[in-house]
Amino acid sequence: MADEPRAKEGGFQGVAMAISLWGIVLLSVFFFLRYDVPELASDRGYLDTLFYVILGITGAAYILYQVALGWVIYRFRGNRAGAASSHWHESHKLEWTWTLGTALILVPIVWTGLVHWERVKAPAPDDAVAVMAVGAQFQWDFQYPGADGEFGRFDPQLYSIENQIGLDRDDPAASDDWVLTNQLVLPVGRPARILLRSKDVQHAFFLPNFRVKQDLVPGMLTEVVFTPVKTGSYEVACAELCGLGHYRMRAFLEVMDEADYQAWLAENAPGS
Amino acid sequence: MAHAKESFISKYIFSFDHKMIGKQYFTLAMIMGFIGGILAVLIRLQLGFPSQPWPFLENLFPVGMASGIMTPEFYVSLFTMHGTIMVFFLLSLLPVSGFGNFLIPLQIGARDMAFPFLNMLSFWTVVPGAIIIIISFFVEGGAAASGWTAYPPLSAIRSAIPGSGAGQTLWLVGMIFFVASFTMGGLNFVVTILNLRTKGLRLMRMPLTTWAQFVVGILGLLSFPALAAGAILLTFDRSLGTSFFLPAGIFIGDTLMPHEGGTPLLWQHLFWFLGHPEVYIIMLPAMGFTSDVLATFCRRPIFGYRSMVYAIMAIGTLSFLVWGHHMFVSGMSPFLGSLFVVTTLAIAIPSAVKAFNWLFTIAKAKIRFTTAALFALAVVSLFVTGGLTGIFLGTNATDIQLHDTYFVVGHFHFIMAGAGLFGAFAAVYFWYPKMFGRKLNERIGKIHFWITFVAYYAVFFPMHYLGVAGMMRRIYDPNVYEYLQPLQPVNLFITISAFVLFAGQLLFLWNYFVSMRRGETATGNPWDAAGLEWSTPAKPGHGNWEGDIPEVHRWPYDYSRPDRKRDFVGQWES
Amino acid sequence: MAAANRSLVLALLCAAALLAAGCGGGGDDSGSSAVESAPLAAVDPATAGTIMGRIALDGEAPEAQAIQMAADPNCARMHDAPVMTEFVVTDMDGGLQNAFVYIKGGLEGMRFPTPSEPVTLNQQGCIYLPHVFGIQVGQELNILNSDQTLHNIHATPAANQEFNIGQPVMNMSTTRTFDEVEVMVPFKCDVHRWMNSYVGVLDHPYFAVSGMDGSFSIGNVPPGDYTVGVWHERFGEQEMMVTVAPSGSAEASFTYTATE
Repeated sequence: MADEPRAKEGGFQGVAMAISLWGIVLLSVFFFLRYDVPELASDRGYLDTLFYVILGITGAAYILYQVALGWVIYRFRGNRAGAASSHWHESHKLEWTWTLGTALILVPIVWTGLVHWERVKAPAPDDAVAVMAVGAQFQWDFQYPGADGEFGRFDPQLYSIENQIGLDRDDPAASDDWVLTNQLVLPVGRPARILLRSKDVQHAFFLPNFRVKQDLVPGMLTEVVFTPVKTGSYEVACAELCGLGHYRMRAFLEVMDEADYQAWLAENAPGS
Repeated sequence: MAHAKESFISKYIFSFDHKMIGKQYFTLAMIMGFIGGILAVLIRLQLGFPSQPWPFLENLFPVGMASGIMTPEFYVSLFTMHGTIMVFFLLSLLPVSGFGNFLIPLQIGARDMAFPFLNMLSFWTVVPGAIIIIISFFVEGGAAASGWTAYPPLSAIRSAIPGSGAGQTLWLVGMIFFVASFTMGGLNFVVTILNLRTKGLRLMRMPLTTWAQFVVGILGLLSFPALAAGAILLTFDRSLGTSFFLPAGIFIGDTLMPHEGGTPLLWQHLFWFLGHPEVYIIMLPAMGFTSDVLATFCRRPIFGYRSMVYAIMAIGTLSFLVWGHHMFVSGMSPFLGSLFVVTTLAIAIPSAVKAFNWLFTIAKAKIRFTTAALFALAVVSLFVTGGLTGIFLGTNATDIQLHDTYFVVGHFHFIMAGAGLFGAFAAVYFWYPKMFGRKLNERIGKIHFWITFVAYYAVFFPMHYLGVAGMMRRIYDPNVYEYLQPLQPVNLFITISAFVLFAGQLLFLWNYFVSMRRGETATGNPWDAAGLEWSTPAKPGHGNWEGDIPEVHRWPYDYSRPDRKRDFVGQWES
Repeated sequence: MAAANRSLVLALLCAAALLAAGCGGGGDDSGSSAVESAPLAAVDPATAGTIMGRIALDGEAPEAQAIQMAADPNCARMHDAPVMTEFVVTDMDGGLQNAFVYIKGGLEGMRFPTPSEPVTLNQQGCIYLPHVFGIQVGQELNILNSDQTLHNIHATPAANQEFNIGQPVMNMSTTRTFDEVEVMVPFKCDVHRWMNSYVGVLDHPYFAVSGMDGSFSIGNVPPGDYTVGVWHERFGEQEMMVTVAPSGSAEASFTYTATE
C-alpha cells in the first residue's frame, strides 16, 4: 500500500495515544491523593483498611496496565522502520498464568471481604444503645425506647402530624418512648443498634463518617450495629432515591461522651 | 441479484433485509441517544450550577423549568429517563439490534436472518416503545421519576412522586414493547447463528463479534422475560390494586394505602435478574467489535482466540449468578450477600483474560491508526479502568460505603456505558463502508475520537473522587450537605467536560449523515480485513453475495502469516 | 399553545395506551356542563343580604404544641420564638379560628363569574399563610416560596387533579387552578411535615374563614333560603338552614364540642 503520509499521520496518533494514556494515569493518581473518604468516626476502620488494600492492588493493576497499554501502542505504532506484525497468537503458559494469577489475587480480597461482612452483620451486644429510625418522605424520626428499653408498638392507622411514627400509646412499652425529628444523639464508645423502618417508600440510612449504609424497606425491619468512637456532630443522609425531596432528607447525628449523653437524656427524655 | 424493483415502503420502511433493518435500528438508536445526551447535559447543568436560573430553558420546559429553575421532580425524571434511554434504547439497540442484525448474516455467510419477518416485526415493535417513552415527558406529572431501576413503592404509588402518575405507566408500557422486541431479536440471533452458517464455518471459526451476539441472544432470551414479568406485576399493583411489591402500612400523602402482603425486594430481584445480564448484553458485543477491529488494524491474529470464546461464555453464564451484588445493603439475607461476592468477583477472571489477550494482540503489532482502531484501543483502556473499580463494589464490605454514591456512577459509565459506547463507535467507523459503500471522514473522525476520549475520562474519572468523598447519586443539589460542599469545583469541572463531550458527538452525527452521500467511496474490502463479511461487494444488495455464498476455509483472524506474502488471508480464501 | 400541545399529546397517548393498557384517566378535560351555559347570576346590591355568625368551641381546646423546627435548620433560623401548631386556635371566649364557612345549598343553577384576581398561598417561615382559605373553581392559585429552602406543595384532593410541585429556591412561584368543587383540598409539604393547609374550592363567592374571635361574615348574598356549612380540620362539619331576607342579615353560628 502506498501510504507514506498516512503512516506518518499514524505515527503521530500512536504517540498521542500513548502520551494521553500515561497522562491520564498521572492525573488520576495525582487527584486521587487529594480526595479521601470522610473522616472516620466509628469502629469500622477495618472497612477503610480493606478499601485501601483494594485501592493498592487495583491501583497498581490500573497503573501497570495503562502504562503497558501506552507502551505497546507507542512501541508497535505502524510507522517505525522495519515494523512487522507477528502471527504469534497463542501461549497456553501465558494464558494460564494470567487466569490463575487473577484468581489468586482475588482470593484474599474475597476472603477478607467475607470476614468483614460477618463482623458488620454481627448481632448487637446486650448493652447496645437501641434507637429506632423511622424514614419517611422526607424526614427521619428517631424513636428512643425510654427507660424500659423497649420500643412501643406502632400502628399505621395512627400516623398523623402530631404522631409521626404512629406510636400506640395504649401499649405499656410506649409510655416512656419519645421521638426526635432529624436529630439523633448517641454516646461515644458504646455500640449503637439502629433499627430501621420506613413509612412509605425505600430510603437508605447513610452515615458517611461511620461507614454505615442500610436500606429501609417498607414492610421490613432492618438494622445496623456500629460503635461511634469520636464525639462531634455529623450528617445523616438518605442514599436511596425516595422522591423529589430525596436530596434534602438530611438529619444530624450528635455523638457525646457518656456524661454529656446522660445529662442530655435527663434533660430531654420525658419523665426522667 | 436481479430483484424486482422494490417500492420505497418495502425497501426503507417494512424491509425484510437484515441490513436495512440494522440501519433502521441504528437510526432509531442514534435519535434516542441524542435525546439521552441532552438529558445528560441538563443533569450536569443542575449539578454544575445548582438551581441557577436559565430563563431561555423555560420556553422548552415550561413545567420542569418554571422561571428557568429546574425543579427537583424534573431532575429526577431527567436521570430516570437518561438511564432508561441510554441503557435500553441506545446501548442495547445500537450494538445488539443494530449491528447484530447487520453483521450476523454477513459474518456467517447467510443470505438473511432466519426469520426476516420476525426481524421486521421486532423493529416495528420497538418503535412504539420508543415513542411512548418520549411522549411520557409531556403528560401530567412528567416522565417516570423512580430511577431507571423503578423501585417500588416509589414507582408503584402515584402520589409518591409526580412522575409516578401517567409517566410511570407509559414507562412500563414502553418497556414491555422493548422486551417483546428484544426477545424476538434474541430468538432470531440464536436460530440464525446455529442454523445458517455457511459451509466450513465451524463454531470455533466464528468471529468474536458473532460469538458475542450469540451469547447475547441467549442472555436476552433468558433475562428479559423477568423484566416483562416484573413490569406486568408492577402495572397490576399500580392499576388493579394488587400487592406483589407492596406491604401493608404504606402511608403516602396523608393516606394509608390499602395494600398488604407484598415486598419491594421481589421487584429488586426480578429487575436485577434482568439488570445484570443486561450489562453484559451491552458489554459483550463491544468486546467482540474491539477484538475484530484490533485484529484488523494491528494486522495480527487476536491473541488467545479460544480463551476469548470461553471468556465470553463464562461471562455470559456468570452474569446470571451475580444480580444480588446490586442488593448488598437492601436488607437481603447477609448470607446471600456473601454468596454473590464470590460469583461477582469470579467475573474478574474472564475479564482479565480478555484484557490480557487484547494487550498481547497489540504487542508485536504493526498498528494502523484509523479512527476505528483508536476507538478500539480506547475500549481496552476504559474496560480495564471500569473493571478494576468494580472490585470495590463487588466486595460487599467495601460496597457498604460506596453503594449508591458517584463511585458507582463512575464505575458503570466506564465499564458498561463507556466500553459499550466506544465499542459501538469503533464498529461504526469500521463497518460503515459495508453499510453505505463509503467511508466516514477520517479527519473529522479523529477529532471526534480525541474529544470523546479525553472528555470521557474528564467527565467520569473524577466521579470516583466524588463517590469516595461520599457524594450520593441521584441527588438534586449536593450542597445541601455540608460535607459535600467542598466538592462543588469537581462537579463544575465534570459539567464543563460533559458539555464538551456532548458537543463532540455532534461532529459524529454530522460525519455520519454527510458521509452517506459525500464520503470517500470504498471498495468491498477497504481495510484489508480477513472476515467473511469483507468478501461481499462494496454495498451488498438483498441476499448479500451476488453469486454463491463462499465456503469458509479458515478463522477470521489470519493476519501476517509467515507463509504468505500478503499480510492477510480472507476466510473465504483457500 | 400549551393547551393545543396537551390535547395533541393526549390523543397520541390514548392511541398508544389503547394498544396496551387502556387509557387510564384520560379525557378529564370536558369542562362543559349545563351550569356553564347558564347566564351569569345578577346579584342586586340593593336587596343583597349578609350571613354572619361566630364559630365557638365548647370545652377545653387541646393545647397547641411547639413545632420542632430544628428538623430543618433553615426554618429554625427564621424564628426567634417557637412556632405553635395551628390545628385548633381559639381566643379567651372560645371563638374558634380557621373554620371554613360557606353556602352549601340554595345556589343551584346559578353561575358566578370567576375572579381574575389570583389567591396567594405563601410559604413563609416554613408555615403556610393562610392556613385555611377558599377559592373559586377556575380562579388562579399562586403558590409562592418565600423561604430559602425546598418546599413542595403536595395537594391530595379527591375530586380534583392531585399535584406535587417542588420549589427548591426562594421566590419561586407556581400557578394552579382547580376544576371541581371540593371542600376541602388538603395541602402539605413533605419536606416539613408540620406544614399543612386547606383550601375550599367552590363555584360561587359565598365563603369565609372565621377570624381570631371566631366570627365571620359573608356579604352580597341574594335573598333566599340557604344551607350554610362549616368545616373545621379537627372537629369536622356541621350545617344549618338560614333565610336571608332582602337587605337583611341572617345569623349562622355554630358550636363545636371539644372531645378528648
